[in-house]
Amino acid sequence: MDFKDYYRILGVSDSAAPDDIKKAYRKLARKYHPDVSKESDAEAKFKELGEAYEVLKDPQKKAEYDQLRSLGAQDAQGRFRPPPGWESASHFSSGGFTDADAAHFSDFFESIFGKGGSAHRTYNQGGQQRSFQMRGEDIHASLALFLEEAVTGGQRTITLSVPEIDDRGLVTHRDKTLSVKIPPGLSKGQHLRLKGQGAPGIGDGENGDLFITIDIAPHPLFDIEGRDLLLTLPITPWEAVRGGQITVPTIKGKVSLKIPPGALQGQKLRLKGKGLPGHPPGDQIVILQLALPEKAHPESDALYAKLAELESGFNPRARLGV
Amino acid sequence: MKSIHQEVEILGTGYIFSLKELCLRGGVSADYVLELVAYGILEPIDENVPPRFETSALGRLRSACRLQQDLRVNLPGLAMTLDLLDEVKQLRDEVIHLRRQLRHYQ
Repeated sequence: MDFKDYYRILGVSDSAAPDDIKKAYRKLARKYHPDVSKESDAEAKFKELGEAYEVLKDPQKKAEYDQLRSLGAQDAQGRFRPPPGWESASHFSSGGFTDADAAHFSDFFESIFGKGGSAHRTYNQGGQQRSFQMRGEDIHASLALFLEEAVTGGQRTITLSVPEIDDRGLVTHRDKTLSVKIPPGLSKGQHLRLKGQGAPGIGDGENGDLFITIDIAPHPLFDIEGRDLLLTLPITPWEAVRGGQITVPTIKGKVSLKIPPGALQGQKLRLKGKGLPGHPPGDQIVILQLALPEKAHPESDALYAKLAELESGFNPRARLGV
Repeated sequence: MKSIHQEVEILGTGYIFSLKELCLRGGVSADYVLELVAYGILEPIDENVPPRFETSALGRLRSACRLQQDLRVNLPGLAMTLDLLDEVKQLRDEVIHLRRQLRHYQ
């Protein structure tokens, strides 16, 4: 178990005044709040901040922590090693936790101050009654699918941490693995519900549900716009000028696409129904992009010179006034 | 570890949360939800009384609860925060989309 430096987590010195600790916490809590931050580890950081503040804002807990810290209760690798016979004077199960999410405090915290007792995050702002017969909490998770999976569906195994109340009334977490059948045609932001797969109910209360929000991982070729898929397709200048039949990838395999003669850079061609499935299905939008060979054929130079002569009336920079 | 096979239910556009279900799943009172509606934080799908909500309302409700609890935001502040967060998310998505488009021209 690593020793957690709560002062470093809050970015304050160990001589910081209570007001400075509060200020630092509030600033970082805004920055790393999981609903606000785009950092991938925001949730973990936010929990860590809550834990650090829980200790440092309370004079008694702070004094205990400071004592451990000054005793050098860590080994050479920075791992936490409480002194023999250490026992916390704090009692947290009697409402010691205030606003932080005690169910998620670290092992380090618990090894010093004990478990959080019955304290756990609830949102019953309006005084909802909780009794011994209680429906299990819903669990919310997100699942990133490959675009191909979202289109065709498939089987995915997901592992979740499910909260449970043990015999002593303490909240513990258990890993649960589910094999989920992904239906075809899902899109970003869609919700799936797995009935009864949330936290177990208490007493005769029914289990909570598991809600999964779908995300789609970026695809190397296709971008998603609504139900349409965008593909940038490089073509040669001669294909653009003369038109022709070209093989194009789609999410469900290769198809043949007709380039009209005189096609332009950036021109968009539509492959109807080749986008994301649905009613109606989306289209695949092919955006043409002119490409030149990196190394020209030795005889090309003479042909380009001839072309320059024939097309001397064309000024691509006319709009720039030059 | 035992793996459980589970059929899923897609909560598509057809699925609607009643006020009661939204309150139950959000762990909040109906008064709180109605207050969020009054501030435009949650938008019912129609004029029905009691109000009914799209499935996305649950995510918004949960964000609202967390922000209120963790940052002590009041309701007008919460409404503004959530609107700004929506806008930031939309802009971030657009930046990602445009950057991905741009890489074809680099």
